[in-house]
Amino acid sequence: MKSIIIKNLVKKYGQLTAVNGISLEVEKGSVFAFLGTNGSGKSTTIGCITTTNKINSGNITVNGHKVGTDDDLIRREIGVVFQTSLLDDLLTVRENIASRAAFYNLDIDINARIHELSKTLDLDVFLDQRYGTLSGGQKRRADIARALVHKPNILFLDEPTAGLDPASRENVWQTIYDLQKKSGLTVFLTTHYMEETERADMVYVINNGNYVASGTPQSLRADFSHDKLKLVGIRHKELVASLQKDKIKFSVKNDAIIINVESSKGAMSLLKKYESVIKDFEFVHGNMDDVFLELTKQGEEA
Amino acid sequence: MIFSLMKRNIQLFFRDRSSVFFSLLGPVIMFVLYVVFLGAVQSEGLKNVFPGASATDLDNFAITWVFAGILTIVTATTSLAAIQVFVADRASDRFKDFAVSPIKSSKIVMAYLASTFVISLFMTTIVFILSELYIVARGGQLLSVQNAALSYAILVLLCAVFSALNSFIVTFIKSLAAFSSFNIIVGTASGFLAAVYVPVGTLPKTVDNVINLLPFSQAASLMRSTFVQQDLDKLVSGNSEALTKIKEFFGIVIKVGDFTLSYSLIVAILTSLFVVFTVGAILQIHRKLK
Repeated sequence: MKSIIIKNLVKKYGQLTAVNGISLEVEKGSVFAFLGTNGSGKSTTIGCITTTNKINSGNITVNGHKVGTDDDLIRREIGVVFQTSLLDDLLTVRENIASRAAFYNLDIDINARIHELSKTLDLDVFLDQRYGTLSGGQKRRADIARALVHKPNILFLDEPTAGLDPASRENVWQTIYDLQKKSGLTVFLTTHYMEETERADMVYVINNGNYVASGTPQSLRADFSHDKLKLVGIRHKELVASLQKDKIKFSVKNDAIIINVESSKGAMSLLKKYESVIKDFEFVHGNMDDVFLELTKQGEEA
Repeated sequence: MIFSLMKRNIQLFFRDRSSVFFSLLGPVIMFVLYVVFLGAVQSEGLKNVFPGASATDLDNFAITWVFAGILTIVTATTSLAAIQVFVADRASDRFKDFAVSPIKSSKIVMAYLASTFVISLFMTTIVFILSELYIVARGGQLLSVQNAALSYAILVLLCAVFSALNSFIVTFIKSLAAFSSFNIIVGTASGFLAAVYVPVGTLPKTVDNVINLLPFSQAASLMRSTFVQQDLDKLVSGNSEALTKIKEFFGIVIKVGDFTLSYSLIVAILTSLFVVFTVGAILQIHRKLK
């Protein structure tokens, strides 16, 4: 069952092509991470899916409803957390959520719903505090509550942790993943913090509006990133010479020699082999940062 | 749906203390100027025209005349301050949040217009009551029921007209900085345009004509017609020649060239302005929401 299906989406702003023919499918109940540098077309794509940007060509279906013709239905079934805070600074969190709830003409008890959201998202402490006085992390949780007020089954988050300190970031992610697990919500998010995509079910990378790669975090890591061994020789020249003699590929950064290795085992055998000429070493696991840098570099060269 | 959005707009206005304060700043300055010295100048001038009149009658007329002007200006300045919510929403991209919701943009537009009108009328009503209290406290007379009802009905019309006019104008303002500059200009200029600082009679004929073509002066003349009537009658006590002269001098009856703008004509003009600018504002805000 697919929550979102995009086929050949093209979005242009005048001469500029912001999104150039991307296609993707998002599995119901999954966490889908949309990855790209600033200006790569992530927010534009979210805008198209959430019915606020007009599409030049291609088509999008959300829960089986077609964007452009069933916009009203789609809007009832999605929740959106924007990059910047869009709630009212001078209203309390409770008032903010209540005023936005009115957009949906819900026939439920709003107060009960706010209470429920407050419990799930842990808003109790600041529920009656003015939004403008909240910390960044608190604001984000209030934003998520607003996006969920009408019980949507897809939640869009456009860089939800941009500008937050690490502790708040972790807190926001925990909240999102808990929600997703508990309620089976489909989560579509964008981020430029690579490590945040590690927990996603699916990662989709775009660059300059073009598709670059997609897959699970594990498969992307396997394909595009390598574990690295950094070595510092007792005598630099001597180490370089022995590596060259054994035809081992390496690069040099400052005084350190960097070798791509397949696994920690490979690293160990290298360490054993050159033990006598090594002063210090460091082993670095491949991560999503490498994947991202590798992929966007390829994109630029292409 | 519209009501809870209106509630939001109204709450946002009243919680922003500075916007409430600045919406009344122009009128307050006007009031202070009069109490301090302009009122005395006015009474002095009137004494020359009515050497026999009592000082109290002169004074009472002068102060009600000032308040008629202040009330007119208040309808314009408060409605402008109230529509700040729209400018702020636009400047902060809040429309995006509306756009992903299944609310019709016509409802959002109506909520902006309606809350602007409600805020403006509320503030004006308070100033209206305070004015009457001040006048009575100074020894002036309370408005008769009929004149009070008429005056209030006029204020309702003015709030509606200026809410529509201001709502239309602010759709061309993109930032809050530009909005506050515009706010200051309106606050100061409206006093001149409605001929509240100085009576139209003291202005050159051409300036007089131009000002009377604008809705501010027309609105003020309509407001004065009922608000100062009792004090004016007492002052001139049947001297019809003096009455005509004083009405023209103080902008109670206004003319463009030799053509007198009757009150029914002014009401018709203001009503049409209301209709035109309401439609204009609806179309404009609708476009901005997209």
